[in-house]
Amino acid sequence: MTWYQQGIADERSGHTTEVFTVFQVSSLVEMLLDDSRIQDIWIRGEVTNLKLHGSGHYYFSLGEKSDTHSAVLPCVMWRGDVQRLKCDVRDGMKVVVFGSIGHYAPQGRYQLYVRDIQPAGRGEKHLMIERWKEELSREGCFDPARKRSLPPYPSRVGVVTSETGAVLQDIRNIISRRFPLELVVSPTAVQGEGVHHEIARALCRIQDEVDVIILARGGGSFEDLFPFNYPEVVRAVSLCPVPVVSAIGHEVDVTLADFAADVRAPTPSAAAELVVPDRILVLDSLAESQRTLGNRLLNRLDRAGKDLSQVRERLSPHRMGQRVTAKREDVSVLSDRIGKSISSRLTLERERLSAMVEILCARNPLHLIRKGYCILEKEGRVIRSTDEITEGEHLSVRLMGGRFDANVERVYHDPEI
Amino acid sequence: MTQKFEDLMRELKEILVKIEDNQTGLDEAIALYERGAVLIRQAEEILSSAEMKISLIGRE
Repeated sequence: MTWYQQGIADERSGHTTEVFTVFQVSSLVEMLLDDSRIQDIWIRGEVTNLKLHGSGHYYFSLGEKSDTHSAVLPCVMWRGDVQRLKCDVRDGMKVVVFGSIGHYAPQGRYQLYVRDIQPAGRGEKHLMIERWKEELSREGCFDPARKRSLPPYPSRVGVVTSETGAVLQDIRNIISRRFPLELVVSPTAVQGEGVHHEIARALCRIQDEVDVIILARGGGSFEDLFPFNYPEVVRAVSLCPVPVVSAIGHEVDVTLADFAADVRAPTPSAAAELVVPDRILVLDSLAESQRTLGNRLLNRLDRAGKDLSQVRERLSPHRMGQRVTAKREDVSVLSDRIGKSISSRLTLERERLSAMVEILCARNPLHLIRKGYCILEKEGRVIRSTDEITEGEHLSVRLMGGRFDANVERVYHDPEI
Repeated sequence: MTQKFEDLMRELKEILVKIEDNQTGLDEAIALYERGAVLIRQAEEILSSAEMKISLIGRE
């Protein structure tokens, strides 16, 4: 438990024993005032006792009275914040101020440190805008991913604005000068109480008729432009099926409808220039396309011509002659190779043949006859053993010079042969 | 000026790319050139004959 919690506890139980210093109590007050409920808040009230200090700071009170009660908040506004103020502050003025409650120890007083002052009506409108902005942002109305690009050559341009103002005339003049086309006007009042419903309806009425819409209004005060902050208008813009170009007031004025639009133009004339191209420039670019088209065809023909002469060069008689000679050389090299391989093969085969002839000769039976042997045959079969013959049989004997027939008189078996 | 104008311009751009492409046959390139010239003439006609029209959608 810290010293001040201890103090509080003791006080509550009626047993205060400690004596605090002024500094301690002052710090305790400062801590108690550091509460988020009274930091960075908007407060409505009436300005009284306004003093502009030599240092440039404002000192004043913010008061509220009813039949039975009255209350004031002492306020201070530092020079830097005073310099940023967009309105004059006077005594008796109903205002909405933004700031935080703090403690000023040297004088033992709490006060409101003011950072912004708005005249009451306008201040509240600013607050409404802040609240709507947050809400619509959550709905995705300002999502950059939803922004579409404008059609390069629209057929019909829609204009949502007052049918009597100079704005429509400006848009009409610019479009008729740059690129005359069909302008579809969806008239609406652009100023006054409840006019935001009419603006939203005028947008919805035209959205299926055109390729792009200009939502425009001439310059005016913050209050004049205020209808363009209403969620009805912002939603109509962000849900519009065709791109919307906003041009509301002057460049310095920004409404929530501007945030939701696909493109924001600084003025209605600028919006008209954004939605249609300049006819003269388009004609110039067409002429340029014509030249490019011609040049590209010529290049293409030129390349085709080069391709052709390359082919012709390849087919020339000289080159053909060179190719025939080259082929002829190939043929003679091949025929040499074939001749050589055939003759070596023949030599080899010849050698093999004579080797076989030698073997055959060695096995010829006539050889034996020439050496003085004879061959016995019986009924065309060669007799190889005495077992095959019997006495009295007729045999044929083949020997050098021919053959003769013989009769077997006696057979002598000899087991050793 | 119409949607048609946008189509003309798109086709013209495609022709400009194709005519330079070596993949495009020579006969086709010449045909593309002729088509391109027609498109340019049509686009110019549309531009020079364009007229301002204003219509009003009535409030309900």
